[in-house]
Amino acid sequence: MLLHEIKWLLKKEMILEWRQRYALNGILLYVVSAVFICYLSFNLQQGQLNVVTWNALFWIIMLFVAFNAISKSFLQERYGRQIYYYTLTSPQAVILSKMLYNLLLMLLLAMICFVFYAIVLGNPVQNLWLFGGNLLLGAGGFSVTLTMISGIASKASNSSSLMAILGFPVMVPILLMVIRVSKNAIDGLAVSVSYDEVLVLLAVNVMVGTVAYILFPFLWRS
Amino acid sequence: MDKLFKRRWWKILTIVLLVYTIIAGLLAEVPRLAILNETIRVLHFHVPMWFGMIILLTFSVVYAIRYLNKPKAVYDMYTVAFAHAGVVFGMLGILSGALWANFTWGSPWSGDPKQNGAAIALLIYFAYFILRNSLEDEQQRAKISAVYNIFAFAALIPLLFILPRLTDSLHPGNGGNPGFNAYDLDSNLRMVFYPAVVGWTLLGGWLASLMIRTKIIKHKLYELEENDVRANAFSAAQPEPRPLERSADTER
Amino acid sequence: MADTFRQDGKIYVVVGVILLIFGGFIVYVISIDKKVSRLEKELDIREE
Repeated sequence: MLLHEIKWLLKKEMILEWRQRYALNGILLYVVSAVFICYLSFNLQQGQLNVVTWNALFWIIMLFVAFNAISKSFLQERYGRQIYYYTLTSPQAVILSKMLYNLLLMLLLAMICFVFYAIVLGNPVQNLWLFGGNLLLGAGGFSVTLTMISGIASKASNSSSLMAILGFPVMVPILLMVIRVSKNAIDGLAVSVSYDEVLVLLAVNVMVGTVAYILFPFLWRS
Repeated sequence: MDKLFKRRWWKILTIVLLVYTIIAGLLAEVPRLAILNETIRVLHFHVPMWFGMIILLTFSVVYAIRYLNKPKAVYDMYTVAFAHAGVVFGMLGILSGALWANFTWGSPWSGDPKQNGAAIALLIYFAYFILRNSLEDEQQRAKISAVYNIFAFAALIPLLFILPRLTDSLHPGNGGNPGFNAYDLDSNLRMVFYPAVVGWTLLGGWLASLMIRTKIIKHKLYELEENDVRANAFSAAQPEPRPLERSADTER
Repeated sequence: MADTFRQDGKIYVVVGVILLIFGGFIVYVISIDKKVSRLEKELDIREE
């Protein structure tokens, strides 16, 4: 039953998004502009960017992309519609479907971002599999935490700035881990070196997801 | 817990423990360590700030969970008061750590993961207070902030305990440095350190208890004021007794 | 190590100063505690 609800809600989100493509286009434009601005500011030719800078910049752009993309999940729902869903489906289905949708969205955006980033600023990544896996875990972590934060912030009046305030500190552990694994992937180190961090990322994803799953029904009721 | 707040024994214990900490902390024998020299005594003051912060924030999250379970306004007051006390301890911990680090590690902020983790933990709880301020309705405020409190605490654990162990750190016990045991093996230090932790934590609890009792008083005053207003409105609705009736009463 | 410092007995000055400051804080905290107790009694706030 729960799985069915999740599938239905997920499909609904995707169809809604595809009809207007508002969020998708907005974020895509954001990604392209951000990468381009970085390119201009660093005043370099392709492939001359310092590896550490490349890595850090990529994940900073991803962070802001995540904030922009996921803040829309709760903040743009109209009030009446929320009540409609409340009567139809369970809160767990709502939060899980939103997290899943945001995960897919983040993955898509991450891949586009990476491709564009690589074209404009060069691709020093040596271990693409690890980098890709890291992208997946990072997108998951961002999606899970920010969806929950977006849910919390949507209940308050000054939602958009509140989301940034609430979200930034909580994102830092995930960000730190992801940047470290990403650096390892770029340097082409063996996967075993990053083992600890990957485990922590996995654990954080699971833990935050579980906590969000348990706590969301309390948010939903108000 | 209300009953506990008014008892005196643990407050006297706090004072005794802290006076002992100060005297023994300064006068007792300490191991002679390189670089640190006498500043190892700061151990009894800086580190209990962290233990105290964790304990107080744990109490805060416990009451947040209790509030979600059974929405009594008192639980929300407990949550906020303990969070306040925890944050105060956290700030004092960071400041005292920065001062100590300035003389032993070279600079007040060395980008040590535990320092960073602590700063971010404080940011998370500052965000908690901002969230509370932005919510108007009392019950909604209590519920939403309780959810965030639990969420933030869950995010805190990896920050403060797991991350520093994974990376190179200047703090003892993390990132390849000998653990706390290297210092703690000295039983002289241990004799002052453990009472210090208890004493400082109790002080934090005392401060939180005062805040909670003040909130309860404020709440009670607000209730009494509301009753007054209601009573006045009620009596105003009654018609004034006619003068004839009143004089008849007094004559009798 | 601060051995000379201690030999001169100056450590007791440090202890005294810190105890004084601490004592001041404690007196302040206790006075607040007493005021709160008095208010509680006045408003008849019973322990739950």
